Amino acid sequence: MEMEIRITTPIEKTTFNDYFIFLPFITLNLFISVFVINFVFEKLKVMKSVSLVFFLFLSFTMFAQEKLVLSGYVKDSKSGEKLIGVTVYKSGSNVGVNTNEYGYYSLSLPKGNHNIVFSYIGYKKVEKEINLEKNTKLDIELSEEIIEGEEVVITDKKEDENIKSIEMSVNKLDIKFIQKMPALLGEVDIIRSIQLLPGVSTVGEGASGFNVRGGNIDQNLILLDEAPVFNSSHLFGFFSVFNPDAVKDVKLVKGGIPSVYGGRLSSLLDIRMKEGNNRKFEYKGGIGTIFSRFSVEGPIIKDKASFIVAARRSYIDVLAKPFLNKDLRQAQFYFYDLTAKLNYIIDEKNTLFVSGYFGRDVFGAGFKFNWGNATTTVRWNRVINPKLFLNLTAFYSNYDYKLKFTDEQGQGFDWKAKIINYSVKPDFTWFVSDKHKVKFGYQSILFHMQPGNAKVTSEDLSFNLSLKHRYGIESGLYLNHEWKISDRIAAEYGIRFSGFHFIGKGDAYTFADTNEAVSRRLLTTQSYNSLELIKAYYNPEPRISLKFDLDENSSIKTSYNRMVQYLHLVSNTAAPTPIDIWTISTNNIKPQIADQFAIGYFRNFANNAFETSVEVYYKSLDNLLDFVPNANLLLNEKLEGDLLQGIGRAYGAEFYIKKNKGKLTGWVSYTLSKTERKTNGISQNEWFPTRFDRPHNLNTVLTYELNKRWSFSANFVYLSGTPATFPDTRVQIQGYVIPYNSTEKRNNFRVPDYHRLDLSATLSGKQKEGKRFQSEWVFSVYNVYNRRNPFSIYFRSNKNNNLETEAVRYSVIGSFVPAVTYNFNF
Amino acid sequence: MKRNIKTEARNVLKIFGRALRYAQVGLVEFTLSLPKWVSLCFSISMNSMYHNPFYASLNSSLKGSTKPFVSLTLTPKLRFLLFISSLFLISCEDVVDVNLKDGEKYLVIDAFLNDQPTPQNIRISYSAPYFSNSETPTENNAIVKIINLTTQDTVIFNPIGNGNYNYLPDSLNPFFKVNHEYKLWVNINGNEYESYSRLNRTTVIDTFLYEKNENGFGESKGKYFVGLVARDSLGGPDYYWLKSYYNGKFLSRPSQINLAVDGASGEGADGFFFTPNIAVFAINPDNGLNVGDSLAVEIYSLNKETWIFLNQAQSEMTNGGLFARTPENIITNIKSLNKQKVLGFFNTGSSHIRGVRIRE
Repeated sequence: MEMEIRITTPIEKTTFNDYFIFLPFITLNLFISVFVINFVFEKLKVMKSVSLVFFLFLSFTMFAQEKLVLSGYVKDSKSGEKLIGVTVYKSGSNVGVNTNEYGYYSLSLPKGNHNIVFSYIGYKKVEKEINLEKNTKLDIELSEEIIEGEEVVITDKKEDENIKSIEMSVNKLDIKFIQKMPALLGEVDIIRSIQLLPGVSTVGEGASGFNVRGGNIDQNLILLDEAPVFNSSHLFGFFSVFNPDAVKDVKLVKGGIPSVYGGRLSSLLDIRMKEGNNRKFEYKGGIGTIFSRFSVEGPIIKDKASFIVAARRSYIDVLAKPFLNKDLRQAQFYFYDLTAKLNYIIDEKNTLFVSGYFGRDVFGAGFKFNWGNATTTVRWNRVINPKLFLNLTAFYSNYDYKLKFTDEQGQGFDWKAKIINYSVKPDFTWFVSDKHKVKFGYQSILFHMQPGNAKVTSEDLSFNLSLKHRYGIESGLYLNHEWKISDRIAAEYGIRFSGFHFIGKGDAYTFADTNEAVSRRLLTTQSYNSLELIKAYYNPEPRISLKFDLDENSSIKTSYNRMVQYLHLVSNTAAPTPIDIWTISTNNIKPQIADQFAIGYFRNFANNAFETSVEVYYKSLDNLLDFVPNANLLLNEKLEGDLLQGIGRAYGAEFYIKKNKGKLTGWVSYTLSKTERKTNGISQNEWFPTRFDRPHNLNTVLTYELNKRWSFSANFVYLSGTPATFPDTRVQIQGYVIPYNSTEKRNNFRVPDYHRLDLSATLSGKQKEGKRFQSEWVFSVYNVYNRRNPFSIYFRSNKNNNLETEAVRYSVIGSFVPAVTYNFNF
Repeated sequence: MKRNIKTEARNVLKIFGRALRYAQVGLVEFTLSLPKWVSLCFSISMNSMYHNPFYASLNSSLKGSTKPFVSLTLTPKLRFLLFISSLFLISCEDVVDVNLKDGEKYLVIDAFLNDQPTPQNIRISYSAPYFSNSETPTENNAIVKIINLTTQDTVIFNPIGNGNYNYLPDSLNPFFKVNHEYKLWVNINGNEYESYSRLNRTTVIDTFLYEKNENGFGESKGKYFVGLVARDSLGGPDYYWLKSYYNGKFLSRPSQINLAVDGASGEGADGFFFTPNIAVFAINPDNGLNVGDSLAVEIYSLNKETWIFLNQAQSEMTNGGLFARTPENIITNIKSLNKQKVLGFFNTGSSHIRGVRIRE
């Protein structure tokens, strides 16, 4: 006999107590962090005599030739902003390092005279003659390179860095270059710019997120100052939530991801916010088609503390208001974001950063619907000794949406869903010698998932329809070693031990097994107390990258990485919606796992004016979510019974050529790829292409600086059409013609190809002597030749006759879109 | 109760999923006042504006409210939002040619029967190429029987051509009765098919109310909109299909399929008045009624599986937009005893029909 066993518990309410129980967790984390720091700090003093097992594999380097350390920060001379990725090297040698995310470098050199070069994109190269007698601290300021008063967008970095660096599958985007690119409705957009890089695709324009090398959109770790952002879009996916005025650096890592990062399978999008000018006040702003923007940055204490506050808001509702009649004036339709950062240089060794992001989309008219992210990050940089750099990060990140309806009779409902994360991450960089760099540390994240807090009220009665909250702790302990084996060979390898604990308070369900793609029957429900372990997963994640220089101008790089993801986005629509829920791994949902191999050939031409690369990759994925037919994903307490997990594979080749010098700059990239999934019960148990499988993907992004005042940019994009499931048969029931796919194969067709040309022109205002005020106009046209690129094709009956059926092309952007944007700063 | 709200909430959220399509409605109405380039593209239909689950939750009478339905004043507010969103979303839809391969041919049994003393019809056909654009080919050599499992009586449905099989009920001794169980049995050249259904009770319409839409935009301004006052029978859950007839003509577009569980869109609203999405918005023709027009509504009871099937069929027939779901094949409750592929649905239900004529 079948029986449903159900242990019921009272409906859960979040109270202060619930948070309170996690205080020990947070405290413990902080305690461990402080302990680790002190331990390392103390031990390192006696490091030379005490060989710790943990560092044993490196210890030989410690006894090598006596070397001295040159270290310090590299800053922008105008704003005092620390610069990331500045190359610091000994002239005429292979000895060199890059500044880290906090602008810090540490270089081991023998005693004596050295000619040290500091070089960075768009900045004047600085050469310093140094006589190294003892460990020396040297802070350097670089000034922007101005050629004939003209801003140079991409010129000099250490010019062959793409060959010499061990990083592969990495794309860095200069924010100034992004700002020149033509943008939809003139709104500079980081995520849309990312989509023009090789190996990146989407399900279509207007869809939120992006897909990297065959990964789902939930497999991108999007970090804004180290805090994850769960929904990177405003307005369903048209605009990304990052305010370009507050962004300093954008880096997309598609492969060879070092063990420092974990938790997502496919990519790392690392966005760093500006610290704020610590010399003088600076104001920036702009009026675009959608947003108006304003930002202020400046010193609080000169050269010691600075801040930046940047805000954007859509303003169409404000303009429309006077023209509306009375009952419409309450309607709301806007979105905004606020980005702020404060940093304080406590002393030579300690720096503190506090940053935050708050953004929301708000709709309302008799109802309220809004969603948004909030993140807060606190970081402490400490130079423990010239060779050991600590960054301790603690963040809070929250994504939530709310739906609320009420009427005069007091009836209504109120629905909220949230994902809350708390995390602590001590990260150490140990500049062992000029040949060795070690990073180690750990991260622990507490997830508090609230998939639905819903309440219905009717007059004085109210019903709580909430789903149980869920808790999980993800932890990762990592070690990463960068090693210049010889002049031509370098390696970076490491391991990350990740673990996930699905813990109470909450319910764990068990479901009946089935081989078919149908909802599984609930067998038991078991309740757990706070912090009680329900299910644990542990995974070692090895990562390795190798580089071989072939000659001065070319190199070969290869990498392997295993990634594990304990968080899943539950979405079965073409484009994800703001109300899609995320779930942590549970006893029923296994963590997603990916293995990626990549190999690439890198070569520069014409004195490094052209960078080229070819990379091929193969990625296999496991435990990807799919859904039984007619699955109900929202407010469904038995959701796990409707989930399926399948495997995936993706492979491809990426060709990339980039021009860095001269008046014409930009890149052309072409990606040939394939992305497939296989899930039991779906598509006849066969491999099927994903919705974002786009075999051919060509991107051309060019900018031409005509003169001091005018610059022009163009994008051309060509993508294979997205796969789609088309019916082949009609079934007539009750006079309705219902489409039916008799092949039962998913994504059995492709919609037509996608291509588009965008143009823009930037006119900079005349620069007057002694005037701080600068302005520019950006004119852009998106989709210049007015193509109706199909997002999808769907099938329906003709409006007037059910028996006549038609295929409908749905274009998200169905016409060309001109726009004008005005920017200023003073 | 719980399920009801979940479904309601899901329905509410559908609007945001369809926002892009709705945006086009706004575009039409404001086209004239906008610069030409904004209105480059609009192949727009007004459909589904009134079949809008969104309204359901705005006014859902959740705890047996005595107020049957509320006015239409929310419409203009919603439209304003759609207009605003249209400024951002220059989307468009147009009909294109697509070459589809011909699919497999499956038997389709379409048997929706009721307890009225009118001729009952079962249609037996085959699936056809999607773009065949005519009635699907039919099967005229079937033997079709319905067995009343409660009384063990059997009736034969006689072929009348074009795949139709007919039975004329005896009005003095009705064969189809509430709470009886029925079995469908079909034999085609030795291949047997069967299905089971219960004939569930329905509910009755107390009265109709109508009012003139003074606010709205465009064509619906100044037209009349009808609301029905009907209450779900206590106990349940009960599943209904509300079919609407405008001047005697069935409102037959897929988007006009109007389904209810008890008094709302999802289970649990037991004994409720039908919520406005069911009682108002889904029963009216797109642009409302003029004086002299008539509107009749039939409340036809369903089995739960039939309700799931119709919900799914509706979503497969209207699955467009940015947030379209992955298409899935429709379910069936008809079984082949000889392992033949078969589609279709069998439902026996009770019907109640009532109408109203608009007067000045």
